[in-house]
Amino acid sequence: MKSIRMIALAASVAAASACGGSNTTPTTPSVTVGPTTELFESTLAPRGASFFSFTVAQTGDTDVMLASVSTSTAPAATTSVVVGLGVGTPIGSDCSTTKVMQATAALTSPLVVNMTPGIYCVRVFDLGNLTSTVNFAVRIVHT
Amino acid sequence: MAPGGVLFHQFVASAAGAVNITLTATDPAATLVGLGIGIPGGNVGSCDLTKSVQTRPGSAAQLSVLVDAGTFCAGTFDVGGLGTKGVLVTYSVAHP
Repeated sequence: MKSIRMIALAASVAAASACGGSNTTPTTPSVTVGPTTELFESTLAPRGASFFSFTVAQTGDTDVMLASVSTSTAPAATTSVVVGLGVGTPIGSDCSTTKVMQATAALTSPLVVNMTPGIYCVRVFDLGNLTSTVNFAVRIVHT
Repeated sequence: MAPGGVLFHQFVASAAGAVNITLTATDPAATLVGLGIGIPGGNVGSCDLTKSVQTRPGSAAQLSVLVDAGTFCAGTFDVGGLGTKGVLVTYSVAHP
């Protein structure tokens, strides 16, 4: 009997809420997405280029860090060679860059670009300084 | 650390700033080892190194770099001179 009374009370509260509602237009809740970190690891040959595509979900800054360049995967193989680093949009089988710079490996982001939602790419390319293939790692933090 | 081995660990910098890495001790004493910093990745030891040096233990930082906020890795590696018993290393990483 007690449980029946509780169900009846709940039903009446729900009905009262429905009747007392105002004529407001439903709104879509905004969702804030935290930054996404992506790792772009590949090799770069003399006179070569390599790129990586990523998707920006909402407007915000994208940080691009050339974190590592090495002549092999061994820990002592780091090199300070200067390579090209750029951001842009994928086009065909390449990356059409809109902003480029010269970079050496560092743990700070030399490229910070404000981006609207869409598909973008990071391109790493030889500036003529490479005499052999190198390994590199780029950290991309985007919204 | 075994001969030919690496010893890296990850840490999180909560803000941009300087990271100072100090190889404070080795056993056997005064052993020459590699000291490096980078980001977690696919290279040996799961750490893609940005900068490395060869050094012996001391009280001052042997490796200092500026970093953005984020996750990084640092540690030591054999540069080729370790005996069959390896080496016990002690290092510190001071970061934001």
